[in-house]
Amino acid sequence: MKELRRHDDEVWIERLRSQPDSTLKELYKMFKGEFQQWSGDKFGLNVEESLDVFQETMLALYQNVKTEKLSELRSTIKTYIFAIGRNQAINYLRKYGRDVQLDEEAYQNKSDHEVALSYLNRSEGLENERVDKIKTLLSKLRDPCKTIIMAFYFHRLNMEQIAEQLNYSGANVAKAQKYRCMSKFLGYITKKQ
Amino acid sequence: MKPELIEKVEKLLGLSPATDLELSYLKKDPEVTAQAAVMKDFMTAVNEFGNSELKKQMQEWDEENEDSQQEGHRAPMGDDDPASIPHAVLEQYFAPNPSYEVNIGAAMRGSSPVLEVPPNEFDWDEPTRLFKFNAALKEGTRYRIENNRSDVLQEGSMDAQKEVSIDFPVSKMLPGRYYLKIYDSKDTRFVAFFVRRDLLNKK
Repeated sequence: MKELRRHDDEVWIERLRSQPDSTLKELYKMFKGEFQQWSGDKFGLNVEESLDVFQETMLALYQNVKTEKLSELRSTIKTYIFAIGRNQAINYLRKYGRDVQLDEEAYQNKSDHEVALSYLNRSEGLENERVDKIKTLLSKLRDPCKTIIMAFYFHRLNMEQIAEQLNYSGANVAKAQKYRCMSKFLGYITKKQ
Repeated sequence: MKPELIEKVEKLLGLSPATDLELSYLKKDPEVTAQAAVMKDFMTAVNEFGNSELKKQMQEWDEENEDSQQEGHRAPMGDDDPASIPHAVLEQYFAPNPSYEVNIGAAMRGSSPVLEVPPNEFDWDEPTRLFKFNAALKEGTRYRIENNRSDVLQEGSMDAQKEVSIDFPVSKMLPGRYYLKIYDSKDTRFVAFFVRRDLLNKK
């Protein structure tokens, strides 16, 4: 299939910001098969491993878009996803002590790698009791607070978008509800300590 | 935590816009900086929780895909009466495939002939359809017909002429949106067409 042109692919960034669920799903379905084939051939990953790496790749893509680490595409969306995927696969192999053969191609388009690596460099595995407690509380949280908190802090939607999602009359109503939810939630976190 | 304090902490952590002057005051505010540590853990937790929820969604998408692939591998026709297909299912058959839609009507690079007749989203009613181009097709031009789930239904070569006919057994096809891909060594173009579009408009 013909490669999407760059200016068409810029649309994906906007769509990931404004309609994250449906857009991520679209990209997921578009590239999953090819990614698994490629990562299997290139890195020797089996089906489950390549799926795991692909899912982490899509999460990294989304992270970069919503935190605006990726604001402009210098390549097609496919090239960008596969660049992240390359790093994810290499990380995966290193984590499990498997051989990694790096070729020059891995260092092409360094800027994409820099952006992708910014996600990979987050600290992993550090024990943090408070973080674990908050995650448990989040899993038990009910709507509308759960939707509002995840929409603002995870999906990084603005108040207008949140108001529209929750059928509020305006951004100010959504903002007020958000602060009510957060005051209560943070109070509960600090109280539990 | 009071809303005003939450707002200040969000500004300090870059979750809300703040001027440089605001940031310089916030960094010196002990109450704000103390609560920022709590918010940082909160953000870490939200990200980890959000990612795990997204991963669960991805598993659902995989299961959906397996279901729809099983559907696609059924014989495209059979003796089922297309008029009996539920409307919700028809809507899926007629849904556009975004990765193809983007390319429809895209400006052509190179010198490959452009399809003039029929227009995009035509109705393929009869088994034989004539396609007219603004110039003779290049040698080696081929076509492929796919449904909106990228299943290949038919493919073949096209004569190096300005007008080329394609036979397609529409009476044996499910109602829905399809894509005709015409490609040569340099270019690929897409045009969408419908089979039994009248069924979608019935409710």
